[in-house]
Amino acid sequence: MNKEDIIKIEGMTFTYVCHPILNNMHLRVAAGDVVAITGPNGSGKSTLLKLVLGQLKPSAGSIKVFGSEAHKVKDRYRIGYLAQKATGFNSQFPATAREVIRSGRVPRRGLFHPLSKPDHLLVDQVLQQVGMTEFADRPVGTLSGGQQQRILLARALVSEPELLILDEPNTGVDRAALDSMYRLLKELSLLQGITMLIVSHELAGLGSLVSHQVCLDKHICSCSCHQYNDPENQLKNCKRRITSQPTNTKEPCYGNFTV
Amino acid sequence: MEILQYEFMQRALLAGFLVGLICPIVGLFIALRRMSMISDALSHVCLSGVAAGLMTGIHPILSASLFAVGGGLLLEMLRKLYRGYSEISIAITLSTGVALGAILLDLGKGYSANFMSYLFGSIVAISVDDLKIVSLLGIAILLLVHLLKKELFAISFDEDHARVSGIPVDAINTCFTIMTAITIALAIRVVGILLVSSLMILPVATAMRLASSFRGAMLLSILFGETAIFIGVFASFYMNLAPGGAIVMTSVILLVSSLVYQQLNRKMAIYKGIVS
Repeated sequence: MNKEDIIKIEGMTFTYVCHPILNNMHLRVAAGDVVAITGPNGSGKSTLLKLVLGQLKPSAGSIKVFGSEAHKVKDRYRIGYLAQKATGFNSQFPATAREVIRSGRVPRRGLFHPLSKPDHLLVDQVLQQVGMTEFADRPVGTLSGGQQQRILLARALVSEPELLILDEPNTGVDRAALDSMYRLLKELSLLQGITMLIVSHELAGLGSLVSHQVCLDKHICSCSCHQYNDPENQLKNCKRRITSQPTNTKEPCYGNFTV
Repeated sequence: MEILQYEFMQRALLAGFLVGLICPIVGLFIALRRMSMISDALSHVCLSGVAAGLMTGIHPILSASLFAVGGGLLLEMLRKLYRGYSEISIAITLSTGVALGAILLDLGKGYSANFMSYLFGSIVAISVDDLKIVSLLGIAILLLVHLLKKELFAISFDEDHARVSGIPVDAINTCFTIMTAITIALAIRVVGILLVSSLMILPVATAMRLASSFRGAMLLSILFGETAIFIGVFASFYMNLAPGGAIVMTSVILLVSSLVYQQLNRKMAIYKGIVS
């Protein structure tokens, strides 16, 4: 049975002031997939993410999310987004963890509609899910980096997303906190079937979570749908492939396609 | 109470109550979005609005509101043009407002005495018309903030995330700029063009030292705003002080007190830690 395409990129090119950032890229992400996008600095990972989020428009080709052009997706609350911690909020901001998570529910409710009791119950439920119930009423700026990351993940989850996008979730978070977050993501993937797109320059810890790995360097250099056991080695292979053999993958990267 | 026997003081207290409510509420979002200087820029645009109102016979608060809204929209446009250097847009708007005000004032000589009451505020000179305008526009702003509160919080906390998650950030920002502009125009009658930004930012600055939640910060900002207004008005009545100055100085005293309280609290906590 064919699963619904959540993201479909066809022949997409993105250039910035005459410099190609992404070149003739093809990629399909189906419902329930957990795709890791890796690649060296400047490979176009962040640009790809902005294109998926509809913040940029492709110069050529198309990028569709939930069947609509990415920048025209109407129900954006269907996309949960966890940004890099470094680009996050001011730690002096006077808000509790609960208030921050609640703000994630705002797009789902819509303009002029206050949050209702079921929304507040969902916030409690998500707090429990990310294991932060006891910190719910603490000022968010007083929490540790790992705890803040969980709160921001909860803010993304509270909109009940069908697609979860994580941008470098390992930035500024220690190993233990990261492992615990990846366990939670694995649980979400298995139990709720949330599709995930994880952009990361480091694959350690992601092994059991990811169903597909895409290695990027202005175009897709390699793509694997295998569950891999040796992520460090995989990244080394990926980097070697980028430096020695920058090929243009014209076939859609999906299914059993493995370089 | 003697102060309440006078009709002009009743109007002053009522207008003061409304302004003391909307200024800290709007000011909280301004401060959290690191746009504190926007209130300074728009209050200076009000200068030309008041001058234009006095010249043309339009009610100065209404003309100041119109000029401030125009200034706010210009500022928003400039902010987009100088993305990442937003203080440039503030400098341009502020200087344009003052320059235009200077020209209009020079053209309309003879209005300067009336103009001074807008420069430093004159809460005790609030007319029935002033009160009607302040009440009508003030309640409209309160209603709008209430309706957009959750979106304004999400944008203030993390504008990029709000945009990505589908909140109409640009439309809400424009709406908020208009609300800010009108709030400033309403407050100039109470504290004056030169002190209006203090009424918006000082209560918030005090609240932010003490609050641990957004709700707490909002309630404390309102409390400190109202306290400053009422103490200021009473002080001006019984001690014959300039009302605008008395209100803002009360705000400053509250801020200093909160800083001292916080320092003492910190020292006490350290002391308790050593003793135990």
